[in-house]
Amino acid sequence: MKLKTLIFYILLAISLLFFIYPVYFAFNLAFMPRAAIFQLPPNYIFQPTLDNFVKVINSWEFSKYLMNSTIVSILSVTLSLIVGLPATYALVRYDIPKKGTILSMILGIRFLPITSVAIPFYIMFVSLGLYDTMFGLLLTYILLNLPFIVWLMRGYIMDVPTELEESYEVDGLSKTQVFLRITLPLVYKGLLATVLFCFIFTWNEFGIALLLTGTNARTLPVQSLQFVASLGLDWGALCAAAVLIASPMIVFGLLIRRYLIRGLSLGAVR
Amino acid sequence: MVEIFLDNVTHIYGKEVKALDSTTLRVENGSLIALLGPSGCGKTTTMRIIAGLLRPTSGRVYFDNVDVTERSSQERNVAMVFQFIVIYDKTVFENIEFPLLVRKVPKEERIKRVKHAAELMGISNVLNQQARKLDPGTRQKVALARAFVRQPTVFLLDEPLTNVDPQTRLELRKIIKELQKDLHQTMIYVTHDQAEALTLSEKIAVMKDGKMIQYDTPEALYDKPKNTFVAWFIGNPGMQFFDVSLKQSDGAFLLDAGEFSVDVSNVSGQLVKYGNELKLGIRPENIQVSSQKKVGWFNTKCTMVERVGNMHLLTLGKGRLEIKAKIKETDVREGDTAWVQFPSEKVRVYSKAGELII
Amino acid sequence: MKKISFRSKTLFLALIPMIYLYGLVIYPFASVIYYSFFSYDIGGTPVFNGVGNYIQLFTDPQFYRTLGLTLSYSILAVGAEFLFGIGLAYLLVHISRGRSVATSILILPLVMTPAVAGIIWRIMFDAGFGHVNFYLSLIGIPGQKWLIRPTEAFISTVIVDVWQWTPFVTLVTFAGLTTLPVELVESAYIDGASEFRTFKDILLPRIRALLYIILFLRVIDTLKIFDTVYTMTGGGPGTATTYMSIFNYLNLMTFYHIGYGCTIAAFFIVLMNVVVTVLSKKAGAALFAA
Ligand SMILES: Nc1ncnc2c1ncn2[C@@H]1O[C@H](COP(=O)(O)OP(=O)(O)OP(=O)(O)O)[C@@H](O)[C@H]1O
Ligand SMILES: [Mg+2]
Repeated sequence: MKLKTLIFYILLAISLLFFIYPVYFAFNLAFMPRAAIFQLPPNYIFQPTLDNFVKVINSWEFSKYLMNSTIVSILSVTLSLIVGLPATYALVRYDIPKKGTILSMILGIRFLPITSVAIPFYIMFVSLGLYDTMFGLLLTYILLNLPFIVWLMRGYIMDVPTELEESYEVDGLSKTQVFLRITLPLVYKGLLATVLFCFIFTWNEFGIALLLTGTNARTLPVQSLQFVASLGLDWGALCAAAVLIASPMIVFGLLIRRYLIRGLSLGAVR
Repeated sequence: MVEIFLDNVTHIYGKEVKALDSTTLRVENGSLIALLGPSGCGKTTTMRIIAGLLRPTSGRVYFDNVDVTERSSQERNVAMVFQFIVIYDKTVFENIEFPLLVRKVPKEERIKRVKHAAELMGISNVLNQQARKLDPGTRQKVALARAFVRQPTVFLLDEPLTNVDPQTRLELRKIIKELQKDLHQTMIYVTHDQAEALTLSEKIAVMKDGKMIQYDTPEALYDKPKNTFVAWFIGNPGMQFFDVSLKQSDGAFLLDAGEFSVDVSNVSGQLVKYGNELKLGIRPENIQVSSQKKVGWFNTKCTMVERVGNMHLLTLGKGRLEIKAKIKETDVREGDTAWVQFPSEKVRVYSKAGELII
Repeated sequence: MKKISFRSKTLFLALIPMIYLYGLVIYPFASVIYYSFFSYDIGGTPVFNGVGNYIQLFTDPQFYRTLGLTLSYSILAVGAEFLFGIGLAYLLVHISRGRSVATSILILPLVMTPAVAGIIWRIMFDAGFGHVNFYLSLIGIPGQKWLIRPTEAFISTVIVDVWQWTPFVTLVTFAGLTTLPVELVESAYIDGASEFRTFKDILLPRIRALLYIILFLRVIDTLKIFDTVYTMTGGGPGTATTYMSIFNYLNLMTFYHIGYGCTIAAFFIVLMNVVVTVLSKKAGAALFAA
């Protein structure tokens, strides 16, 4: 019994080490002085330095792409909410013909090979002058976020008892008021989690941004390829860039730990 | 088949919740006993301790005088059926087969025993269906068959019929009773339905707040409930109580409730030493009621007549007191005057603290 | 003015996303099909080519290689993720302390920007100073030319997928298992089943629906794999890790063939539709029920 528990913990620890190591590795190298990087066995203890970060932030227009990523993520999530939330509510609460088909089609977007679907966007955007603009990117990202918003919020709204809403309606609130003043406050945690989830998803998106942006509207993940090209063997700076791009997402992810799995499984896990 | 002995068992969940408090219980070899008590009194905890799913905080568990406290469920070889209907995601056949399969019983033997168990429960016709698709009643039959398919030392049935439809409940009660007769297996049956406990079991253990209050035959529990809790708990409705004082007049001893009194001269000797304040208890079905005036009976006002099954439940007012009487035939109507008598041999007397005196 | 009925209002609300969908999915899809019949390079003009592109596609050995690679990648990665992931869930179920630390760590690969993860692994797989080779050497395995040789590069991409997505399988399985009633475990245990047997025969079948859903998601997502692989290997060395999405992208943006790119895209979209339709028979119902 004791021995078995011990073995379980050892196996678990080894596995967890595998999952955490690349993250640890990136953080480690990001703070490592240049001279200590190309040494084996690896350096675990050293005088940390911010040189790598300074180097990344001061060059390659890091702040511009940071702004791009932030703006595109915030705006696309906001817009998706504005479009998706009322629709979700209607799809959950009201009798809408072909509800199931509508829902499956919205969900279907999640399964499309998006880099292939985005090719005509490229053709269209080039001819419309939307190529390499934030606006164009925004339009496509709304498309990506909608399935998540509809499917996740659907679950949260379904958890609110109909009777509760009806009793407020009987008491004189309009349907819109019931939604805004009763239902939304009840699902705000789920809403917040969904927003953060979509934010992470949008921020991390790579394929579409690669296809639809040039130097102007480019986001951080795409720019990271540029870092590889220009920093090449400067692993410290490369890792500093990685840490700068990924750590906000790590923080958000840990914040919504429980909801993240629900989101990734499209609401299958409660 | 074993004798089970719980010796002074206490169980505390976490740090706070004392679910069992110094419980001692002996279940004779081959008998079917019921654990009866209100919700949260520790019945399931007792079962889980006997099953070996829980280790008691203190106290020992013996099977046939062997201390099994440290043994796992599997080493104790118990079978258990839960209130929550447990079905595996398999066919009915595979469900029943499972305990035999993990014990590596040979194939022919398995098939034979599964078929037999299914027959006992009357589910032979659904053997090849997915168990989870069946109705709750049939699912519980599958769970029971899974318990009866092997030869365990003891069957633990924890409210097995609570989540089952009334029809199946009656059917299963009968099956369990017959199985017990045939197998002479030690069985412990948890229920909070006293009718079930009374019809099924040879002995009933009444529990309250983690304590074993009375462990006796159904007759004894009904006739001589050890304290006012058991008296009130057993019966439908249970025994009713009146605060009385012991009075002496003309050489006779009376229990005086103020509004009426009952003559207890024949047993007065035992009563004197318990002081003046006592409780008189009587079951509603033991009260005699008449619409005609009779000598020695006292008059009451009937305020309500309800039908309970084939009986009448009368609510009778006497001053500030209210008396419930349950009788088969009556011509007393609401608003009538009714004459009442408490037969002295049916009257029970309890001390002020609620312990049985006579 | 006539008041718009409530019913039409809600219909309208529900339809907004649909309009969007039609605008931004159906139209592009139609246009992919349209251009797939043209010979059209970036900067040039579209010239109708009939089924020429399709003939080119179906006679392109690289296309079959890509298909095979993508399939092997998907099967290997998903298989490993399920074995490893469910194994880890088994461990998590049977320990009493440290679960929240474990789940926090398991979240990391899932939220890590995939493009960035690809770059980090690219450094770790470096044949010279990469840590992967260093740690392997500690347990006596000689250094591999990870991203330099085709087979090794392929394996590297699978490892990265396993790293990134095993936690997903683990966390979903674990979450599913914790919703099961304790009586289920107790009953199996009393029936004489070992812990492992209980897990395999009783508990896992109970969360079958959930397992279908994640299997479905993992298969779809591995077939579409793009970001981590693209930043780690760029599809190379040669075409050793040129999976479907990468094949599509390279033909478009590196070789500037819009028409041919659309042909590949059309094929890929149809293929994925078929896969989704076939696989969603079981998973779809489960998703709706959730
Ligand atoms: N796992 C647990 N942790 C903490 N307290 C518990 C646990 N299980 C039961 N209890 C508490 O212990 C007491 C006895 O519980 P038990 O389940 O044995 O009651 P019971 O007699 O079976 O009740 P019921 O008729 O409702 O099934 C209750 O107060 C209950 O709340
Ligand atoms: Mg119970």
